[in-house]
Amino acid sequence: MALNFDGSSFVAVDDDAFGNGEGTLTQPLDAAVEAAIHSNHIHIAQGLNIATWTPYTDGGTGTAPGDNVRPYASMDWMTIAPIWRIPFMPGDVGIDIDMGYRVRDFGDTLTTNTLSYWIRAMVPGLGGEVVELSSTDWNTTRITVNFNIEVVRPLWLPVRIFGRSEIYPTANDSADVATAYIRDTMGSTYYSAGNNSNEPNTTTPDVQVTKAISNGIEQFHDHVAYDDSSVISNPGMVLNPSIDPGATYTAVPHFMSFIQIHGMGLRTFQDPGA
Amino acid sequence: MAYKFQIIDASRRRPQISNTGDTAVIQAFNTFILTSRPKVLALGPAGLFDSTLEEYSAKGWPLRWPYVNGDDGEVTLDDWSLQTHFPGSRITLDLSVFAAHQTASFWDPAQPALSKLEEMATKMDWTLGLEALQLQDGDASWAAASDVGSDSQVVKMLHWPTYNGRGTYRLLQTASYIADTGAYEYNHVFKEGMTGIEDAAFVSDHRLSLTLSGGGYDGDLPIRVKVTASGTGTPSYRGPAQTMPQNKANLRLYVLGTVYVEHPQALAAQ
Repeated sequence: MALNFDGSSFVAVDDDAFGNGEGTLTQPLDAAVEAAIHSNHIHIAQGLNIATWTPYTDGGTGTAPGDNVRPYASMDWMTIAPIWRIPFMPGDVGIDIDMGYRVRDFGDTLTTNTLSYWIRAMVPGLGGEVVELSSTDWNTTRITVNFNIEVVRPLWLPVRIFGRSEIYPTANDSADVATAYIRDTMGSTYYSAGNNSNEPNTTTPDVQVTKAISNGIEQFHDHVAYDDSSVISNPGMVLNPSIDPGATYTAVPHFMSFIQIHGMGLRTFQDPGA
Repeated sequence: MAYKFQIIDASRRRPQISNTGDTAVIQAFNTFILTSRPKVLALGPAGLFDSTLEEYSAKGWPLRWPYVNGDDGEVTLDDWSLQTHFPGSRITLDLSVFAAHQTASFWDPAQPALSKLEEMATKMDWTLGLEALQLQDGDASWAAASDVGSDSQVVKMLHWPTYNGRGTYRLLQTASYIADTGAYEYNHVFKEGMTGIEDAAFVSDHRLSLTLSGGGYDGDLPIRVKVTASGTGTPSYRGPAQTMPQNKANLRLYVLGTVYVEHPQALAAQ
């Protein structure tokens, strides 16, 4: 490996730098040693500030890659990680977000994976980035957010990581589900782990959206919750945006892509000043 | 000198003998900057896995947002094992929470009139705690672990009613359905753990701080940090006369984010 002094690797300083080998410094540090020290500083500066998040998964016993990791899906931008306020120090010019993930969808055949999933990572005031993920198997990725400006004083700012699904264009069931979803006649499976399944389910509404058609106008609605508790009426599927209660409509479900996340790492970095 | 990592540029890189005073100072300063910089040790929360919640909320999966009800007593909300870079560091916890007044998700004649919701602001004291424990030789259980640092704060929080008739704020909408779940079998909250862009306004940040020392603290050993919270106050309610909001059980604290940061002593002494 070539010896570089640009901070890309740690550079050893050998005994020759210390002169005659008798433990006494008999010569001043030369330029090569100084460059090594400085390069090592840069190397350490770039690698020192990393932290990870490892969320609980499920208590299931499955060991296949897709097992036990809760899927996230939404047609609007919604966070897929906690909100973290972390320190940014003078000289920081960006942040790397590393992620172990899997993106899947059930498409119209329940087995195909044709849809993408988008991540929007941002540090308000400093910068953001949007990336498209389409991996169908477990994968890792690094999302690099290069700041618009260099940090010039210590700041504590939130890191927000949003996700957004792609909706499969064809309904996965052409039958009108307006009554089934809205009026409390669903089956017994509501969430992807509902039948003790370790994989996300093909039938559950957590990885679907509802398309409502009223007077020829189509609008998609995210599934927020399923409500069985009302003492006045059973609203059934709680949608966002909500449907005008006076509207006459039909509704069909669509699959959308979802993401499963094993863990994340954040790493702030500085300009190596090459 | 600016509080910033210094680049030694070409003008200071002498061809042969370069260890003149200025570059030596810069190198020493850079060492100081690198060691004294606040270091994020862990990100959380890990979530909440409680099999008794299986029939509710996100069925069969862990919840992303650990929570504590006002009448629960002290609950551990996050729990990590950490190894600091340097012994005796100061540890800070930045805690992002959502304080909810769990009003119903639907309209109910027993509830106050919709127009009164603006008055349903409820305040209550929460005691937030951060504790560092260390297992040392001879300790047989965590009960015997040494307390090597702790902090607590009493914070008076303003709780947001989760009723959200138009579904504009998804955090409120989601929280309101988590609220409903306890008594009903078939409620499921699909967007638990997810917030919309508009929800940032509901998040409040709190900081706890401790310095690792005492209790036979050993800087070579890892520590366990625990975040706790309990509703220790009496709800102060401004609104129409009825019982629901005044019940501590209807006030709930959700943890939306935790960040553990090490502050080496060199910086702490500034």
